[in-house]
Amino acid sequence: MSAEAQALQGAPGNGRARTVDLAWFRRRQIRTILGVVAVVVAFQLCSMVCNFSLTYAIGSVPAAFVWMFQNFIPTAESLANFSLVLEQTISTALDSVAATVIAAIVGIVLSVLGSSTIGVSFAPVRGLIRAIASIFRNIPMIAWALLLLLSFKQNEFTGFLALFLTTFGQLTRFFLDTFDEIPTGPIEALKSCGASYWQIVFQAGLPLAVADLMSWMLYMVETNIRSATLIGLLTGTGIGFVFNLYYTSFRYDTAGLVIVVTIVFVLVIEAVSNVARRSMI
Amino acid sequence: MLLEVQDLGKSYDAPRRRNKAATDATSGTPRALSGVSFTAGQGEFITVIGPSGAGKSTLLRCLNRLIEPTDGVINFNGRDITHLPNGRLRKVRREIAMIFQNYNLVYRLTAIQNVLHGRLGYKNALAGSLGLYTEDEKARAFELLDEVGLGEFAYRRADQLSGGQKQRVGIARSLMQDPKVMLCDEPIASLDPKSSRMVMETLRRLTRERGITCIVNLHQVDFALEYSDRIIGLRAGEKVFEGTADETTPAVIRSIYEGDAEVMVDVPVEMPEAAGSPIEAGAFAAEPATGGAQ
Ligand SMILES: Nc1ncnc2c1ncn2[C@@H]1O[C@H](COP(=O)(O)OP(=O)(O)O)[C@@H](O)[C@H]1O
Ligand SMILES: [Mg+2]
Repeated sequence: MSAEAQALQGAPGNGRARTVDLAWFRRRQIRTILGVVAVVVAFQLCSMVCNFSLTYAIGSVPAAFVWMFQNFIPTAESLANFSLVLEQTISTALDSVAATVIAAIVGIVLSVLGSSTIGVSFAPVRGLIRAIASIFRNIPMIAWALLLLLSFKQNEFTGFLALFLTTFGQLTRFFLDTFDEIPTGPIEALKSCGASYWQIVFQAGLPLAVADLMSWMLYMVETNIRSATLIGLLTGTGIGFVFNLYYTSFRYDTAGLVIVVTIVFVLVIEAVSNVARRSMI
Repeated sequence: MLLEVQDLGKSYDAPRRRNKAATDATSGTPRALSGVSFTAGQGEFITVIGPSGAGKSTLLRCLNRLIEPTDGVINFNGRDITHLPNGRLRKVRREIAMIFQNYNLVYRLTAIQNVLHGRLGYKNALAGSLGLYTEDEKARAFELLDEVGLGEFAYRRADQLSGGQKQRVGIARSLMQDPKVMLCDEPIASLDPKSSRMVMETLRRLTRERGITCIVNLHQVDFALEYSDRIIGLRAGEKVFEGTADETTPAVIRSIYEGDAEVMVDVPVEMPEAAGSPIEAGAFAAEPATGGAQ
């Protein structure tokens, strides 16, 4: 051991010797390089197995976009369907807003009861609520839609239920985290005033959590409008159905109009919910 | 006496047991409180001093049962409240207000809403949950805010107030309860000297003018000496001193904080019982599954 290294390591007898390990930086660099190499190798292997060619993919993307733009650009002719598209987009959007709001209400009740801060004191109930949230959250929405199609057939309610069930699982999970993180001090203070359980929930729990709850709910409204379009394909309702109808009959211009209207709608909703979020801080 | 505490004990790692021997035998960690007794009369200003971790917060929270004591008896206003069920405990808590080091306001609500929270114990579940207060209650809340010098901040959100202002809202909230006792857990620990003095003056005034009993945890000994009728010294969960400010000499203070046994000659130290009685030992033997074998 060199004198320098000895000096850096401090007194050997000391139980918590201060070691300055300069090789640590080199080891880190090597690890980073190895990581990058591993990713590249894995990508190459997978590409070979799936017959995927990066150069071909990159080369064909522009062409695909050009084709899309040529075919999906709404034409004057497709504007004749505008009122139908708009009407169905609004109906789909309202559907997903309704599903999200109802899911949020159920989610708030469950997550209040299941939270570690203002939940019920009986631990198995809290565990059960967490389990329910996990199960519903982890079943994909498409799976719900397909399952529900069996019993409810193709109609609006099937899509609504599929949206509701996944959103409910997801929101309950987010809400549980939100309530788990509210400060316990104000809750303790209200308890010391002689407040009862529900008084504490409404006068401390909800006010402390409401901004985050609303923020999560608005986020789910946004994602659900996108998902509802997809679900409509399966359930034969709403804007998804309209898209499917024109798409499968090669009327790409109207299908393109559907896409444009949907995108505009999602952007508007996003803008509105950002304003709402900012006003709630 | 308004408040009588007898032989109060708390062990965090043992849930409530019927006897002390069991908890002593099973707990590996020292008890947060053991054998603490004292009384508090109407309008008294009592401070509890002691090093950090001595059990001051635990003691205060046992008095209104935010923490369930493991053993001992608490008598409040001539009534044993140690085992009161929830509904009746709420009624008792209305008369035992509490203020905190971190103010513990619902920071998203306004000052006036926080003050009105002091009435929750008097309201039914629905009116309280929805925040439906009577006109009298509202008028009184404004009055109290005025009294602590925050009349113009009534509609200010609590998170936009300074530390001293928050603590004064906290005091107004507790006064809203019409309390007989105020428990103050390090009320000035986060405040600058000027705000600290203001808060201490306010508390002192409450004891004089309204006959409210204040029990205050402090770690500023100088403030304790200046304001207290009586000082209680806690160390490692045990009461090691009780006396007036005059009796609290520098040597006594040193002994509370550093545990210098030599200067403790004239201070009665309550010795814990050497061993459980045969009955208690028998009770423990009947509960073999409590994790004694470690
Ligand atoms: N919730 C808790 N769980 C376990 N131990 C605790 C808890 N609260 C306090 N303690 C322990 O109890 C002892 C007394 O704590 P505390 O009453 O907060 O003292 P102080 O307020 O005098 O600083 C400390 O040893 C602390 O670690
Ligand atoms: Mg403390």
